[in-house]
Amino acid sequence: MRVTADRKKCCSSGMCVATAPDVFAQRESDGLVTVLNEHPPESLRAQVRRAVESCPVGAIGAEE
Amino acid sequence: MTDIAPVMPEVNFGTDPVEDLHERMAQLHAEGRRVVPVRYIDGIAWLILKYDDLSEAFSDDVKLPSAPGYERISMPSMGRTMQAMKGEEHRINRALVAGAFQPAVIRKAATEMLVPFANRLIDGFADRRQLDLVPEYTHRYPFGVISNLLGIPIDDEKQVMDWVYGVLRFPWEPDKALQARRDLDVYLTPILEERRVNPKEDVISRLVTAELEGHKLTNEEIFAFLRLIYPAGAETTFLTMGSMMLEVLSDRALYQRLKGHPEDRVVAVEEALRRHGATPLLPRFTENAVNIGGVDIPANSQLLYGIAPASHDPEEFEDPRTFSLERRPNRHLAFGKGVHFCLGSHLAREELRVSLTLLLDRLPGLRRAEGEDAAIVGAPLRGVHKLIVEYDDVLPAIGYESQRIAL
Repeated sequence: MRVTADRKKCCSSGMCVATAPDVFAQRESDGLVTVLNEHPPESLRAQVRRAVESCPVGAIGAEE
Repeated sequence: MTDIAPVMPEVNFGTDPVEDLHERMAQLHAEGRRVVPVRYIDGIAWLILKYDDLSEAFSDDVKLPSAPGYERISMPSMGRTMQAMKGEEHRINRALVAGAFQPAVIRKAATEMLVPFANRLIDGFADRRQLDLVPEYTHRYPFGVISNLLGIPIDDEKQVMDWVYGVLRFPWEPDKALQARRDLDVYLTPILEERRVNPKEDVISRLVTAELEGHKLTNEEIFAFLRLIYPAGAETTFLTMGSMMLEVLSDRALYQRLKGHPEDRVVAVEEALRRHGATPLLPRFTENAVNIGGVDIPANSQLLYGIAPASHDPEEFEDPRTFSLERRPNRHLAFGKGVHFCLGSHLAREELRVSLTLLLDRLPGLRRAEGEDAAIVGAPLRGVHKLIVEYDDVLPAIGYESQRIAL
């Protein structure tokens, strides 16, 4: 699985971090998304899926 | 507009208590309606009922920008808040304040302020065994939390609240609203100047020092944000919190389960947001003519985003009018969707979780007082304004472990 994030779309909702905190983080200053782990292990797959789904602006993606 | 016949013409969804809101929305779902005209204040509004239609409407800020609505409703009194901005200006303005509301910051605030402050309010219950939970807690807590986060001296809170409610009197009492806005600005100006020189750990300090891609917030942008944050952040949380407590205290089985299973409380908060979110019908305006759910709507029409009906859409939620702890994930739209998604969602959730936990665990036997009515009322803003409760004891202050969101 490969995780992507588009900072130009990001609205700093923090939903990805609240859902999958081992994969996503937010910059301290503006809350914009950063990817901590571009290739998360199988065990985090469900969390990542939910994070993608819960992003209000579709700024993050996960390709199998 | 006058030739449009509203459905349920006996109800004004802008001004009536609409206690039976959910039953009415269920009836429209059963009739297969997607978008219907309803009476709203002194005219007609187009109410969006379906989950998919609303999701799409929230997500497309080009086709259906939030700006035109807020330009009419709040700009004259609150100024150009973020809700009245779009595109690049909105993106930068939002990012400049968003850092202050991210989950990591809120978790820290929970330990340092949200929990101690809730404990202090409950300590004050010690010599009574019956009280109205609304003025004593569900209203006081979210407003106090915002003041604490901003760094407004707690002694000034009563005065600040009067001004904030004054600003909200627009357009009913425009002179009063605009005077309150001026008074609030005069009060805030020296606080902003002081934080600019001596920044502290509070949100106002963050706002005066924030910088992104060469942009900084102007004083007026900060004022607009501060005029917005009490109504958007405290009023909504107070209303939802009252409804949540009424739900829990009206259902013995739910109360017992949450008392015995603290791990279910995070799910209960999500379900309270779905069932009883404070903004069930969110007013917007069309900028251009649009088609939503197969219905043609002209430019400059009043819309109502049906957050409640969408979050009870039977095609999306099984048995939608049941308060269930089994909905995981719970894809409610209580915080909206798209670029204007509620900036304070993590704060609101944490306040609801802290309050549910501390009220249940510190007040054994917490129950509704017999013979006292309580109701969830209002449609654009919905919640509980009186909730008389009794309890057997007040246990000592406790800590609280912040839990992950239940999706």
